Amino acid sequence: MKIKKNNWKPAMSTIVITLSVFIIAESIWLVGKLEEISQRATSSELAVTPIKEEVKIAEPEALIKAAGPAVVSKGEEFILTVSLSARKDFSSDGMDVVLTYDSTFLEPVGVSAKINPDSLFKTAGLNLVEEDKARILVTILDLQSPGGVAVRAGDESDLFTFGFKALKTGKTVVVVNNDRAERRKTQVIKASTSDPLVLEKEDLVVMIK
Amino acid sequence: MNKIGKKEIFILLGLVFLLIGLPLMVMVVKQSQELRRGAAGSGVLKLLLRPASADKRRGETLNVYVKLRNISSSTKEIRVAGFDLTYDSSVFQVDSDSIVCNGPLPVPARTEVSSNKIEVVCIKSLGSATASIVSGSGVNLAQITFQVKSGAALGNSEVNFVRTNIPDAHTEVDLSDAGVGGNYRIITDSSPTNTPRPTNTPGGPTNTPTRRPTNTPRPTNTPGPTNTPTPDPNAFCNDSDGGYEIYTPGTVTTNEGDFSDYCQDQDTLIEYYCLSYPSPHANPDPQSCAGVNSVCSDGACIQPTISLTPIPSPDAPRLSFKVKFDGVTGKIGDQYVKVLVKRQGFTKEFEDVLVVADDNGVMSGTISLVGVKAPRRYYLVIKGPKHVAERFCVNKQNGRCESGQMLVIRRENNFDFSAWLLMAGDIPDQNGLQDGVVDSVDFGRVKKALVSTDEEERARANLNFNKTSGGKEIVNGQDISMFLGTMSTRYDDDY
Repeated sequence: MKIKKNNWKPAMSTIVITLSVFIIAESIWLVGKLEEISQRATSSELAVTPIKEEVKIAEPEALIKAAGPAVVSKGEEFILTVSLSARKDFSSDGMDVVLTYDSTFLEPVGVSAKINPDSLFKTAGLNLVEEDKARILVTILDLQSPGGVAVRAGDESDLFTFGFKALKTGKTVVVVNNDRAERRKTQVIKASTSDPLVLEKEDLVVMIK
Repeated sequence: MNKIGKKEIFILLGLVFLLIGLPLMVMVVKQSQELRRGAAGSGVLKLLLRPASADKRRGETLNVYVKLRNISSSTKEIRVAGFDLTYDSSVFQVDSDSIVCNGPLPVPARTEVSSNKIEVVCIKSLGSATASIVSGSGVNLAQITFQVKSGAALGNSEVNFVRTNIPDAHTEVDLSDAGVGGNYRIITDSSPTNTPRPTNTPGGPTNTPTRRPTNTPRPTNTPGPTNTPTPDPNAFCNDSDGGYEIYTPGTVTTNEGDFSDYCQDQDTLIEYYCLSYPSPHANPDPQSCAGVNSVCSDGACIQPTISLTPIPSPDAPRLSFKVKFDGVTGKIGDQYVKVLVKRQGFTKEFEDVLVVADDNGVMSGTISLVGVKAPRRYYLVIKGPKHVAERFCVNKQNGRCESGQMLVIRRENNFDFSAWLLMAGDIPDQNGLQDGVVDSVDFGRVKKALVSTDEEERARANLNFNKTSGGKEIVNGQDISMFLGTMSTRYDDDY
């Protein structure tokens, strides 16, 4: 390649100006593109999605079930039974059960639950109805075994029963409240650590005719 | 005609390099800024580590709380919060079992520890329930226990956030900031540990603010519809007290100047700390010292040395009170209670209030009610160290208070609540935290303590505070009986 010496300077100037224009244009384009990516990241999926994928649900160690008739007549009284079914082996010192109900549909019969004498836990620490909060609180404890009551996977136990009267027609639910964010909740505690088991729950759905 | 020389070829090559290299550099810089911005979110929920600094010896444990503070003007609803922390694995050992979600999002959905990274996701529940973080409030999100390794090198070791994500429950927009980490010092076994809360002694640490800004605090990073904050590549920020540390006066040094922590009044500390988004800068945060039972002095919340001497505070009303713990009939060691001063729309909390027992087991305490206006009517809630909170609304109360308030005057207020016992049963966990209810978890703690040889565990479950002549804690059937008595009568905190 040969270029005349006296043509070199203008040619060089043209090259420099052209390249500079390219560099500036390219930079502006890149900055714009990255701003666009940046806005997408801060506003939506880039920041949020990973955590959603990370949430793991622990396997339940026991089921707490509220059982009773599926259909009752208005004015009729019925019995609700709360039971525990073990999914895994564990030892426990006691448990709390919190049942909530709709007081426009259901009226408690009596002021406390009837503890099953053959229940896993035989001592009632707390057993009352808070009608103002429409909830039933039952805490049953084991005072006998130093290491807690040993429960095997597959074991089932009826814990207590409670009476309701149906007030008006419609569908209502007696909820086994095990929301761990609540201060008072349904929980079964491990004997060695006092930590709660991971629970599965089953509410009672009642149709009042 | 001459051939092009080497010089010209180098110039041409340089220009070609600029053509390719400059855009590449721009891209790299922008991407690193983007990564920081992506980690930060909108920044209205601030994540902090508390304590932000501490001295620890080898073999000791460091309990670090991850705090969440809502600095926006509205309540935020969230379901999930996630964050990643990095730490020096040659200094600290972290067991994933030691990570606890213990605030409004109590369910640990993910707690993983790799060689130098901790990944935590706390959720409200497995359902769709949300947690409300009230404007201006600060809550615990999680607790992580770091064990200082026996072979840890002496000196400072940082724990920093590398990723945060707290999506709004409704819009799913990330509300978190980038988080403010902590700096912890590993000291020799022989050197004395620094007390995290300086005592209020003459000649203590003083701080002369080098610059006290008079303008309003710099706005925080609320996303706006028009302006996208532009990062300043020359910005820098250093905090002499290691971050969000209210018990130590500090100065934040930035390219815009120095900002020293200062007392707005005797209750309110303006704590400056560094935020990194969009560029490193000093961020002021008002903090109530009364909320941590302290007063603001010389740019820090100062807690007085433990004594019955009231905090010198000429304007605040003083409260002297007596309470009695159920089952305690004689002299026991000094205890700490929590006192809440309440009326509709107002709550002032005083934690760790010292109470001292007389020979009949009546406990006396005194506090300066900083931040409580008087004369006005209030009711008090007092919670003992293993007790259910009781509401008091009349002097010499001898039954449950359903409603009503008592007059708190400007100077001395003497109330005797010893006739209505504080009932034991809300047993603290191993971190000293109570949950406000008496339930099977507390029973499990008492029952476990019956056979435990751990004196601390026994002390927590020793409801009547009795001891052997040798000073050993006694946990027996009396404690079980007291527990069952409380459970059957006063089973929830009475607020």
